[in-house]
Amino acid sequence: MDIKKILLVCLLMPLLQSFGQDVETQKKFTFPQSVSIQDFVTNTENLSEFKSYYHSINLYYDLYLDNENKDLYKMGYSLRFRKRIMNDSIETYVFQLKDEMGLEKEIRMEVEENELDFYRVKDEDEWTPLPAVLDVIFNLYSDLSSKPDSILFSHNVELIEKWIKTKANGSIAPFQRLRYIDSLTFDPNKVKSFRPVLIGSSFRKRGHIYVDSSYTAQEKLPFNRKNKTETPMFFKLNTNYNWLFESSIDNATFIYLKNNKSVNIIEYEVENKFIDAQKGHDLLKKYENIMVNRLGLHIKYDSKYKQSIQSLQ
Amino acid sequence: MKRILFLLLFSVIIKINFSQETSYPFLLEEQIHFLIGNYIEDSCVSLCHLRKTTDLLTNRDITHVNGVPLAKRRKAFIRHVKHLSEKLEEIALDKTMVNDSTLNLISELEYLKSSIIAKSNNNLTPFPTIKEKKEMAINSLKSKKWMRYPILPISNINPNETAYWKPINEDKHRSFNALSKLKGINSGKEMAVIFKKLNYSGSAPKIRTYDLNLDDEWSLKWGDEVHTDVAASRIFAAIGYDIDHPYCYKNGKLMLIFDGSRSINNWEQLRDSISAIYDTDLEPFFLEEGTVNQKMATENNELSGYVGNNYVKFIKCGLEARPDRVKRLGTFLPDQLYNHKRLELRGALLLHAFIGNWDTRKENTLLTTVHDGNYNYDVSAVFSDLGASFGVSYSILFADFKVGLVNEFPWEVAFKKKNKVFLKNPINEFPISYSSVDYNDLRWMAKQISHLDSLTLRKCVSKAKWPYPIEELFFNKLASRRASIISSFDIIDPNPIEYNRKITIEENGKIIVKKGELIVDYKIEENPESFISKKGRKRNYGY
Repeated sequence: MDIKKILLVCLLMPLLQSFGQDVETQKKFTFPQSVSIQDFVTNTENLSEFKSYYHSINLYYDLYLDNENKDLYKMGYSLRFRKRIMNDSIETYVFQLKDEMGLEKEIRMEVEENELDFYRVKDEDEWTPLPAVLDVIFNLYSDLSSKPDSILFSHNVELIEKWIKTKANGSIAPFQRLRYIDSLTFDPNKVKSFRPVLIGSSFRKRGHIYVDSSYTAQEKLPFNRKNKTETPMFFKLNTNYNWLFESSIDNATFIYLKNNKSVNIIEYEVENKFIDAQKGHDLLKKYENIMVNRLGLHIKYDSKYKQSIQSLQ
Repeated sequence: MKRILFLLLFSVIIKINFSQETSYPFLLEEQIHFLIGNYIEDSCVSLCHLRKTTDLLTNRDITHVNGVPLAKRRKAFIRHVKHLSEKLEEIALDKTMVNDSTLNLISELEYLKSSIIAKSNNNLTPFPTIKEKKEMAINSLKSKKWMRYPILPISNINPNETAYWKPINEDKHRSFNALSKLKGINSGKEMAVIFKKLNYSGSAPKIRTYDLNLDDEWSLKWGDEVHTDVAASRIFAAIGYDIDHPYCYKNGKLMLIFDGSRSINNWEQLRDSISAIYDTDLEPFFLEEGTVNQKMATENNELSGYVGNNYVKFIKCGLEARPDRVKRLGTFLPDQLYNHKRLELRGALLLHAFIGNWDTRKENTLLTTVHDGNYNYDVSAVFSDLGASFGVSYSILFADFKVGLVNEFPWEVAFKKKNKVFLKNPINEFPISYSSVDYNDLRWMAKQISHLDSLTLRKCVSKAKWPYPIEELFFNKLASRRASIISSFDIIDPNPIEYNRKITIEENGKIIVKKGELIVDYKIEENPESFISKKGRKRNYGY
């Protein structure tokens, strides 16, 4: 009996150790000039077995960090502060590290410090909440009458740099991951050299992609049940719909802080949310084929950060 | 040498400032020297030392500590550590001189670290080794000899409110429910839960299940602890301790649903798996199986997503809450960080004796983080798994035990002889907090027990859902044991409770309890675990 239990524990141990990976499985597409966003929305609402329900428009502000040598860009990473404004009301802040996708790499690393409200940075003798500093930067950016190189803008960018320097060897999840990836390359001095390099905003039209109960039964799919807080209202109200993916149509503009040049990026992104990873992957592949072959979209892999730097430097 | 002198001088200064009147959840005066030596430089918090601890607790890429795989650190736990460390980082960056309130924050961090490390070590050997089983047997045999306490001049020191104990001044019978509410636990008279996964730890059969809201979890158990754990946890809560939240469900009031996406999808598979893991046959606990239908979904809308799925109901089972708001760490460290100095921990030995708890291993204690619903967390010490109580029979030969044997639960637990108080309750482990107990520690607890009135005791016992004759017998025995404790410590009983040591109970002309003893194996088909048979888990409860 005891031996049986010990064996079971040994078998379970690797599972217990696998929690450390933070990843997302997603697909990205660009629109050919012949496809308008409005037509695309209409077409995807009822696309064979896959249905889309577009539920909200969010506004995102992003502030990307790197150093003079663009080490993060060269090594295939992007590091950003993001402010999300959901349906003109709820505001959240997050600090994210991501890597690049590729032809052979569909899974993307995503490490987040997803609660910034209790971090503060010292401005003269006062502790100022980090989100307040980000707000000043993003408000000045979105206010077309002010130039990003204003004194107030520069001062708050400096506060961000100060926070990075203070926290370079602290317990901030993206910094912890960078140290783990390569503690020599990303030593505290390297992390301390990161500063804001790119700022931008995106309008994001978000949607749920789902199949109905008859397709679920036909394909013998499990129902994607998540807890109450993770289940979108749409699926709480429509219990016969099986939630597969989340989609977003992004219309983003970025300014390179070094030369004030700007770039516009429009893309469609689909992220796997299905309970069964393998079946979710297969369904995503099927959806990708429809996007490419029926709607004429092009697959792409580069992050917005990579696209912007390639276009603006 | 200079540093040592500085540390000594500094800890003396801090000690002067340390006020026993101020209540700190974690900091003890005795910890100050250790905390200063490990976290303070030049009278201020050392960022370097602080970050070493914080990184260990929050960095998911750190997977081992001293070669041992680190236990899972949940998001809520990491968030709380970051809240805590950020407060300390600001104190460090401001170069503020350390005070006892700062040291309390550091102390809390040190508790979290030590508890996670203890859990990691415990994960390596989740089942007692032969050596540990032998020690448990020796401790049990020697308890009687060790648990005698010379009477000392009375000291009336009371502990402050801490993470380990909170005074309950009124409505003691409501304290269990008050804690449930705080933790967001919603237990109904009837419950439906979804099978999540099999469990592989512990000696009693159990599985992990989801609440229908899929946010909270429940541990579903069978066997001899389904009544005892409920009564024991409520008594500990009434005294002011934090506890697990077990409930007893009988006569099919609990429905276990298989959602079709797990490894186990029906009753037969569950029964066979439990048999393979725990060597226990669940068949005697089985009541009915079936398929969730539309009528059930109409009566309970939350079942609508499960129409067509298999379910099973049981004659009796226990359901223990694992609310999403509460994250369980490792032990609450009875042997570390000078916790043996805590009166509220030392005194708990007498409460274990009162309920007849045998299993006092530190593994049956927990530190938990409790989310208050507003992104704040309280760390609370929990007395967990109190079910090995209310009459325990243990077999050294089979390394097995059986609990809830009402005839094995003595009428008296304490007595005074010459200049000593004796406790009659074998326990299987003596953490330092219990081995260093003195008369006044126990007397403090005796006073707490004297404040348990008849209503509180009755509520605690009735929630356990023992059959009527067994409940009556346990109530009378608890009242008698309480009286023996109060008189042994020369306390005037503020709430005398009547009891009858010669109680006799008849049902339909048949004597069930005769002169204070259960004389029949009461309704064995409804109580497969039996209240008389001493055959325990290893011997399949005798059936």
